[in-house]
Amino acid sequence: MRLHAKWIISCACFLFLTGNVCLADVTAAPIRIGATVSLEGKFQEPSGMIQKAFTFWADEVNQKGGILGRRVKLILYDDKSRPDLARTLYKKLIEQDRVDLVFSPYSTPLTLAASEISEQHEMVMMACAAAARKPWQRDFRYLFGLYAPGNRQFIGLLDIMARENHKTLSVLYDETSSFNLDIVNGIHQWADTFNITIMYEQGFQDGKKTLPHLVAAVKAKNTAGLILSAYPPDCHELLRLLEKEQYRPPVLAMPIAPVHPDFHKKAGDMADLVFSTSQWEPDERIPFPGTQQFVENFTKFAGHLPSFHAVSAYAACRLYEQAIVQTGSLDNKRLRDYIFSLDTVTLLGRFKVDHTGMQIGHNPFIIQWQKGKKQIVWPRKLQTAAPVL
Amino acid sequence: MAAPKTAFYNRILFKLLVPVVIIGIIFSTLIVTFLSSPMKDFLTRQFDANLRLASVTGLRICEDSFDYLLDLRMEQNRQMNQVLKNEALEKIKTASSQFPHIHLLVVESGHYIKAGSLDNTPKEWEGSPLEGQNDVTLRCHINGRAARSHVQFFPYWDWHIIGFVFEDDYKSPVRMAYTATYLGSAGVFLAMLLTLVAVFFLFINKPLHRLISATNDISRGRFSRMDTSVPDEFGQLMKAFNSMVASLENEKAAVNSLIHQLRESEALFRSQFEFGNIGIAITSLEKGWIRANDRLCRMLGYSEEELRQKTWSDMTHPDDLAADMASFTSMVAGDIDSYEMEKRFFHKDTTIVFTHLNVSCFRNPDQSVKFIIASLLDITDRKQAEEEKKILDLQLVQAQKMEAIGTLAGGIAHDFNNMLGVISGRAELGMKKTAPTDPVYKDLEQIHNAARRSADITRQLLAFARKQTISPRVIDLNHTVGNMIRMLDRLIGEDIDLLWQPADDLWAVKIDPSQLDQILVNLCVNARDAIADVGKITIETGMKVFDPAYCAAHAEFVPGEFVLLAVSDDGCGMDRHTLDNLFEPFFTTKETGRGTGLGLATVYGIVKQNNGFINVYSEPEKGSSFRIYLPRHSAGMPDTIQGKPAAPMPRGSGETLLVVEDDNAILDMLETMLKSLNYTILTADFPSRALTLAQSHNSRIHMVITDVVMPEMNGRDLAGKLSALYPEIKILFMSGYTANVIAHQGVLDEGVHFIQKPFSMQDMAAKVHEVLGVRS
Repeated sequence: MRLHAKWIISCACFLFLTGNVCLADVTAAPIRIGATVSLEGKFQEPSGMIQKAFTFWADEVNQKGGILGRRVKLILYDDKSRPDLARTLYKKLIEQDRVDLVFSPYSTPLTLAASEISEQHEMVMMACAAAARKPWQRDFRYLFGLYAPGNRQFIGLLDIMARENHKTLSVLYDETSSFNLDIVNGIHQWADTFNITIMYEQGFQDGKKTLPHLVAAVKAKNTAGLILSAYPPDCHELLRLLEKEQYRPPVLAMPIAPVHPDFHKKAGDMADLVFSTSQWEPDERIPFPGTQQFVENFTKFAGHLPSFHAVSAYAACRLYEQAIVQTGSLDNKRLRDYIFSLDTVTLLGRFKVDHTGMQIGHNPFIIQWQKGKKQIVWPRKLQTAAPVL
Repeated sequence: MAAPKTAFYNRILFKLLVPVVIIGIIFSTLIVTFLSSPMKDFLTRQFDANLRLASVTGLRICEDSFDYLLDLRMEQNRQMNQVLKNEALEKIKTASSQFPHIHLLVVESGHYIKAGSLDNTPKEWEGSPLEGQNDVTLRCHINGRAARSHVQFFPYWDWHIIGFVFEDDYKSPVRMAYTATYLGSAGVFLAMLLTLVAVFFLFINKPLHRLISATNDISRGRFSRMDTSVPDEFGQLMKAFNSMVASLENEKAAVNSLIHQLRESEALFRSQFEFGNIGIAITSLEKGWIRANDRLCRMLGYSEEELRQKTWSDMTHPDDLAADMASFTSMVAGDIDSYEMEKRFFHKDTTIVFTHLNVSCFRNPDQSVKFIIASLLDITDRKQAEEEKKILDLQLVQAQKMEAIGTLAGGIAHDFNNMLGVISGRAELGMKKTAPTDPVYKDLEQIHNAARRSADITRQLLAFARKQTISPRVIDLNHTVGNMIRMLDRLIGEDIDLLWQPADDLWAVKIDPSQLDQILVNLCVNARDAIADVGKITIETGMKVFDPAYCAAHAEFVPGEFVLLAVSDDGCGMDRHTLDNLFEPFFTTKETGRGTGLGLATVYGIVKQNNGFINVYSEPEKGSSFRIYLPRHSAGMPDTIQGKPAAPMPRGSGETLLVVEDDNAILDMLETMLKSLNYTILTADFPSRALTLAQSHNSRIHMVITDVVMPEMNGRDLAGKLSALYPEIKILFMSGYTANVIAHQGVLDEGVHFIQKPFSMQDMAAKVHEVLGVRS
C-alpha cells in the first residue's frame, strides 16, 4: 500500500517536472490535426500513402500516450485532388473544426491552395508533399517543406545521361502544376550544365488527350532520353502509349508514379528501366535513424512498403511532434520558430529550411526499376545498382 | 651378409623422383602454358580494374565535391566550384599514390590536362578523343610513351578522369607474373620434390633402412626387433616384421636343434659310415657309385674316385658274379628287399678279398630304386683263418685219426704181437723138435715165417702207435745214415740213383738207430716204388730252426731246433687224396700184395715217438719229398758235433718283395713273416697273377720269392718273365724239394738262390737279406 502510493507520487512528480503533462491533462482534449487527402483524382495514389502515414503516426503517438498527455486526433477530408476544394476544406478545418494543427495535402497545387489558408491563420503547415519552389516564393512564414525542390529532382538523371553520352532529351510536362514546371526548369538548368540538348519540350494540361500526339512527336525526335513530368495517371498513360507505339528511348524518366511500390505491378514490363526521382527509399543503406523500424512497422500497418510520400508525411508528423514536445505547446508561432531553427535529421534525411521555409537539407536521388525491383542508381554513394541505359 | 649397394637408378626414391620430375615438368609446362594466358588476362583485368579503380577514385572525388555543392546549394557558385575543383585536383593527384604505377590525369573539355600525378604532366591530352568516353579502357600515348588508361567522365565539370599506366609498367607485372609463374611452379615443384624426398627419407627410407638392416641382421643370425611405436603403415609393417622375426627365431632354434640332432646323427652315421668296420657303398642304377666309405676303399684298394670308374662286376670274382647278379636283379625287380651272400672281390692288387655282402635298396614312392646300399664285411682273414683252421682241423683230425689208429693199432699190435710171439716161439720150438725133412717142419717153418712177418707188421703197427720199444741214443745222423747208404742203395735197385747229401756240422739227435733204419727203409722203398723206371732218390740231412709263427700255421710243427732228414724222389708223386691219407695204416696206392700199407704209418709213428714231425711235399708226376724233423739233442754232443750259435734275424728296409706260391697257407704265412721283417709284400697265388701284379705295380719290386713247382708255369719261367720286366729284380726260389733235386732235374740253374721248405723265419730272413745283397 505504501509502495503503491509512493509510485504514484513519483510518477506524478516526474510528469510535473517534465512540464509536459499534468494529471488533469490525461483527460484533456485531444490534439486535433486536420488535413485533406485526395481520395480521388490524379493525386489519389500518392495521397493514399500520405493518408496512411498520417494515420500510422497518429496510432503510434496515441499508443505512446499522445503528445503532452493529449491524444492526437486526425481530421481528414477528401479534397478530390482539387485545389479549390482543398482551400475550402482547410478553411473549414481551421475555422470550423478548430484544429490545433494542420498537415499539408499531397502535391504542390493543393499545398499552394491549402497553405494560403493556413498562412492566413498563422498555422504551421509542414508541406510533406510539395516539391515546387513556388509555395516558398510567397514569403509565407508558416509553411515548411520536406521535399527537395522540384528543380533538383532530375540532376542525377542528367548526370547519368551526360556520363553515358546521351546528349539529347525530350521533355513533356503537366503544366498545370508548378511542381512539374519546377522540374522542367531544373532540367533546363542542368541540361546546360551537362551539355544535354533538349530537342523537344512540350507541356500539356490534359494528358489523356494530348499525350498520344506528344508521344508521336517525341518518337520522331528519337532523343536519347524522355522525361515526363506529370502525376501518376499521366505517367501510366505515357507508358501505355509508348508500349503501343513500340517506342522506348534509352532513357525514360518520370516523377512520382515509379516510386510507388506497386508501380511495376501496374505498369508491367514497361516499368522496367524507368527512371524516377525519389526523396527516400526503403533501403537499408538509408542511414537515417528509425528508418528500418518505420519500414517494418508501416509495412505491418499498411500491408505494403512505404513510398517516400509516406515517409515524408510521417517525417512531417514527427517534426510536428518534436516541435510540440520541445516547445511544450501547440502555439503555432512557437512551433514555427522552432521548426525554422531546426537542423535535424528525419527519415528523409537532413531537415533544414531556408529563410523561406524551403527544404535545403537534402537532395533527391534517382531510382530505376530493374527487373521488377526499384534500385537507387544515383548518387553513386547510395547506389544499389548501376543505371542501365 | 651385408646387402649389396643398390645403384641409385634402381632405388625406390629414384623411381619415385623420375616420374615426379617428369610429371612436374609436364605440369609446370602446362601451368605456364595454360595459366600464363589466363594469368596475363587476369593481370590485365586486374590492372584494368586498378586503372578503373583509380579513375573511379578520381571520379568519386569529383562526385563528392559535386554532392557537397549540391548539399550547399552552391553548384552554381563559381568560386565554390573552383575551390572544389582545385581541391579535387589535388586529391586526385594524391589518390594516384594508392595505385602503384598508375597515374591520374584530369582532362577538362577533352583537351586540357588540368592536373596529373606525373612529374612531367603534359598540358594537353594527346590521346584518342575523349568525347563520349566514359568508363572505358583505352590505349594512348602520354609523353610519347604507350599507356593503357581507363577513363571516367565527370560531366558536371566536363572532366575526364583518366587513370593510366605506361605499358612498360603495365607489362612488368605481367612479366613478373610470368616469372612468378615459372618460379612459382619451379619453387612449388622443388618444394614438393624436397618435401617428397624429405618425407621419403624420414618416413620411408629410414624405416626401410632399419628394416633392411634388421633383415641383414637376420641373415647373419641376429634377430633384432623393430620399433613399433610409429602408428602408421610402417609401424604395422614393423609389428609384422617382429612377428616374423619371433617366428624365425623360434624356427631357427628348432632348426638349430634339428641341425644339432642331425649333425649328431650325421656324425654318428658318418662315424659308422666312415670309421665302422664295414665297407659301405651307396650306388644308384643311374649314376653307379655315389659314395663309398673309407673302409670299403681300403678293403678293395681303390680310392673312391677310382671306384666310380669301376663297375661292380669288374671287381667281382667270376665264380660269385652270377649269384650276385641274380639276387641283385630280384631285388631291383622288387621280389626281395635285400640279399646277402659271401662274395669275393678282386682287390686292386688283384688279390681276392672275401666279403660278407649285404645289399639293400632304398626305393622312391613309386617303388623304383632310388639308391642301393651295399655293406661289405671283410671276412678275408676269417676265411683264411677258416681255411687254416680247416687245414689245421684236417691235420688235427688226421693226427687224431692217426693217433687213434695208432692207439688202436698199437693196442691190437701189442696183443697180437704177444700172440705172435707165442706162435713164432712155438713154431720155432716145433721146428727144433722136427726133422727138416719132416713135412711138418715145412709147415712149422711157414708158420714161423708168417709169424715173423706178422711180427714185422705188428712191429710196424707198434712203431706207428709209438709203442715200439725203443732205445734212443744220441747219434749223429750223418754217421748213421752213411752207414746205411750201401744197404739202401741195394734196396732201391740199379735203375735208381741214390744220392747222399749230408749237412755239415749236423746237430745230434736222440733216436733208436733201429728206428732210423725203419724210417729210411720205408721211405726208400716207397720212393723206389714211386719211380717207374729210372730215377733218383736223394737222402739229405740238415738243420732247421722253427719259430712260433711257422708252427702256428702248422699243427704238426713245434718251435725249436731240429735236424732234418729228407728223402726225395722224382717218381710219380702223389695227389691230394693220397697225401691226406698217406700215413694211415693200411693205406696204400700199390696194387694188392705189393705193400701192407704200414710203411709210412710206421715212419709216422717213429717220428712221433721221437717228438719229431714229418712234412711231405709231392706233386703228381713231379716226385715227392719226405722231410723228417727230429729234435736237436742239446744235452751233449760229441765234440765234433756242435751247432753254430743262432745269428740275429736280419730285417728289411721296406723293400718290395713279390711272393708267388700256389699254396695259400704258405703264401699267407710268408706274407705275415716277411711283413714282420719290414718288407713290403705283394702276393700272388698264380704265376699269371704275379705277372699282372708286377706289370701294374707302380714302384720297384726288389725281389721275387717264388715256388718252383706251380700250375701254369714253373718258377723258373716266371722268373724269366719277371726279369725281362725288371732286369734288376732278384729271384729267390723256394720248394719243398731239396735244392739238389731241383737243380738235378733241371728245374733250376745251379747256383741260383733257393730256400727249401719248410723254412724257419730265421732261414727266410737270412736268405732274403742275402739275396737282396745286404750281408749280415
